[in-house]
Amino acid sequence: MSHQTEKTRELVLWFFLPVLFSLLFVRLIYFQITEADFSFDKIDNRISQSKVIKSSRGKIVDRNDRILAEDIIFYDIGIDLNYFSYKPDEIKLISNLLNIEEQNLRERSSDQRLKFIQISKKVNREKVEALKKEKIQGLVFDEKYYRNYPEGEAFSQLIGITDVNNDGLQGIELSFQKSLDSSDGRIDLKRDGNGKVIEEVIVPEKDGDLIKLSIDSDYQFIVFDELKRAVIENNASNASAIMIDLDTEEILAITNYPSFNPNDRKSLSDISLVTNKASISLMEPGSVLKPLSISLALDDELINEDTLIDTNPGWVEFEDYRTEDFRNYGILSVSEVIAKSSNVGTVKICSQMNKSRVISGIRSFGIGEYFSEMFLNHREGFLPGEQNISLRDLVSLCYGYGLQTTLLHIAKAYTGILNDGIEANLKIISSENNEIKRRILKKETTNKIKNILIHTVNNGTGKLAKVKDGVVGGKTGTSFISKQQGYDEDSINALFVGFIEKNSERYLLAIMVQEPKNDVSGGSDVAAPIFSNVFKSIFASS
Amino acid sequence: MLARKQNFVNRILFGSHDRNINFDNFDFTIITISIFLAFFGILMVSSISFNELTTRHIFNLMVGFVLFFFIFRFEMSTWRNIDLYLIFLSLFLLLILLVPNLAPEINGAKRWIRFLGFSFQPAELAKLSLLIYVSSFCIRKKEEFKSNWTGFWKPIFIMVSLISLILLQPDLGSSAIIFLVTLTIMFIAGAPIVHFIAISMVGFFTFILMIYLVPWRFQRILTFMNPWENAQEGGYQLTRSFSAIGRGDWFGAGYGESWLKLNLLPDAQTDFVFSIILEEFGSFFGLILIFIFLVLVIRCFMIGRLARQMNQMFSSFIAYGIGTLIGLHVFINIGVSIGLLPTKGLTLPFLSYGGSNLFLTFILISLIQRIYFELNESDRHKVISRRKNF
Repeated sequence: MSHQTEKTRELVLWFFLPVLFSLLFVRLIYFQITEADFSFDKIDNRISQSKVIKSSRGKIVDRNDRILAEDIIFYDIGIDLNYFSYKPDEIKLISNLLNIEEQNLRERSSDQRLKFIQISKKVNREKVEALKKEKIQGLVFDEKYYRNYPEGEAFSQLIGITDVNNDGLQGIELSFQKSLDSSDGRIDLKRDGNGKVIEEVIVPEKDGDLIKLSIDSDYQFIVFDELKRAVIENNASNASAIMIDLDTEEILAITNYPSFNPNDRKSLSDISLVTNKASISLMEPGSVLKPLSISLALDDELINEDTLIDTNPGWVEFEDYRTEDFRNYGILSVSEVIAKSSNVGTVKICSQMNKSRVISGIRSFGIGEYFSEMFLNHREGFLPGEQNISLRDLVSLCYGYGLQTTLLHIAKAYTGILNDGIEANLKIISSENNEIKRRILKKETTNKIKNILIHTVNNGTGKLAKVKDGVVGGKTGTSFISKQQGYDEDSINALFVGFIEKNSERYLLAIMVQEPKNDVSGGSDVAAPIFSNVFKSIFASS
Repeated sequence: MLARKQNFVNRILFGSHDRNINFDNFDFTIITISIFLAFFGILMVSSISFNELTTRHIFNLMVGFVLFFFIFRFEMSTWRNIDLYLIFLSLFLLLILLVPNLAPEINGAKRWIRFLGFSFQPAELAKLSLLIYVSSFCIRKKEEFKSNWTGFWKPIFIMVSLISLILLQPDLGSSAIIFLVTLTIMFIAGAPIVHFIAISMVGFFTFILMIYLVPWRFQRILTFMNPWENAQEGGYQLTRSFSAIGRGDWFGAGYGESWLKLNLLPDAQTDFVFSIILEEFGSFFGLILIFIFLVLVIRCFMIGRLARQMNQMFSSFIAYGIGTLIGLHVFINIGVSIGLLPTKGLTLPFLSYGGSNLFLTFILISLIQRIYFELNESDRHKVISRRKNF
């Protein structure tokens, strides 16, 4: 073999190995351009895990830290069908413990298309412990926070409810959603081949804030029980009440009957039961508005409490509209006009004032306004403007018709009057409020009104509201409920708004009973007794 | 000072002979690359396996270092003369592996012999022995080898015996390397092209048969084609290797930052060390590393060519063989890591953890230095002038 061939063969080798190496180059560059990201994602998904750190929604407590709403751990139970044994006795056991129909469970679990079925929600710990003891293969227990309302139906409309995501849907749950809301945390983990954690990113959970209401649960229960009794006794459709501490202007109780059990929403048949009627249901207040309108005339010194008003012959025609009293009261003083609730007297007093005074005066009590600071779901109602109101409508406004308002607004207006004519600032959570308050009436005027209200209870329509050893004042109201075909004589709202002063404690209680169907006259014999009963219970217990 | 230092080096390299050493007689490219790779290997092994294996690796490196100097003492002619003894030693050790209970079984293969606390793979020795034997044979039986069949088949027979024993372990990767290196040397030595093609064909078909007959090898080829579809089974290692390379991107996740080394990629410190290197240092660095290995191989080839030009045929064959051996190791190891070749357990010279191959690598580097040294010694001026033309 020649020298030349050896050289050629060497050259082949010189050529061959670098070619092999350049294959490596090409392959690596190609891989990095085309497959690298995909490959990385694969391992990233493989070793990454995410865990949710559950957070609990804020508690709601009353002024004495009694829990009104809190998150409690319950369990959602499902079956992973890949691991389920389908043993008849296991199916039977599960259906017995969780109150599911055995046949139904058997059918659902044998559906070939499914890998997982949810069989029960919101199961308590005891049942779960019992199930776990049986060591049934395939059962999956998902720990979950559920909202629990230990005090039940007396609070349900005030507190409201939450939706499936545990977000507020109604009531305090909705108005304090921002504070109560919690956000779940996360742990993002990466694990190596042995399961050891190699990277951990924690986003901490944030539990919701505690909301402490000004509500006193004891009072709330007392008021609720009295409302319940009144509704049943008078065969009424519903009743609402608001109790306020006049010194702090805090709401101590606000409740309605009928109500619903917030812990068993399946039993909630009528969705309107969810609304807090005391602050949401609109009505024409009727006579309870008279002290407000007459206080304006007193304040303007058009009249004083002793000014005599001739209500003969028991009716008056004003602007071609006839206003009647219950009966002919003859000549009445201004305090008698309120005490006997004379519509005619009110019309005569009211007609002395001009439109803008009446409208702005009533508005200054808060009627027709929305209270953005109050954090209690309510509707602002409707108060006509002075441009589009006739004189006839104006005078009927003075005795409580032609406007739409809520019991909450009435309570706020009375609180203002009873607190020396300074606009009230009702609160559902205890807090210091240093804002400069507006005066709505002269102090002398409010003293006159207060005496008139006391007179009303002592000698007028509010007699049944009397409480032993307490100074009680108040105003009854009976308003017809407007239906589509005008007012229905048989359909009334019976109201009473009153205050009590006893042992340096001062409370206001506004009561509304809607549509009592028994033969009753209205506020004086339906609502006023509730006031009396409530405070009898309260002072008896304290 | 320099004189004393030289004296010291002389003593180590040549014993107490009165010879002067000239540093020009060493190939500093190879030395630099070797030192760089050895230190980088420590870096990688310590990144992948934390402490216990690192100590072992550094110890192995030191043994390799000692081996380097020990081997360097022998003249090339010595190797030429003891070629058959080496073959017998290799055969003997490979046969020992067949004795039951004598060799530990690791990952279903019996490849290691424990000796004085060392684990040693006879297959690595077989690579060296066959390299020396074939080179030597080609010189000794030059005419016989070139002209008739018997001369050609003799080394083939020896090779086949060795490969058969290695295949019993089983170790297809080392067998393939031995086969290819042997053929390369015979090819350069001028084996008749007909014989050569014949044996290539036989070898190729045997190789195919080996794969086809053994189900798991065949399966490996299939998973190699679609690694992601078999990610949980056979493609496991390869897809994990891909993930490592993908994570490293072009510039790497940073030294010590590998995820895949954390028990996610089996054999991360040995067969798949390159994947972890790419994950931590990036593919750009990977390309540089491949280039460095290429320079090492080419340097060996250059010395081989130089030897032939100086008519030192044995040294020339050895040098080419060393270049090919290292080159194939690198090519197969990296090729497997990046999905160019089906999964094969072969180490990456210098960088993989594992004693035997490291020792072999040091011996090979020592031999190539010795060849270069002897070439320079024999005609220093000539070599230097030639080197300029290189």
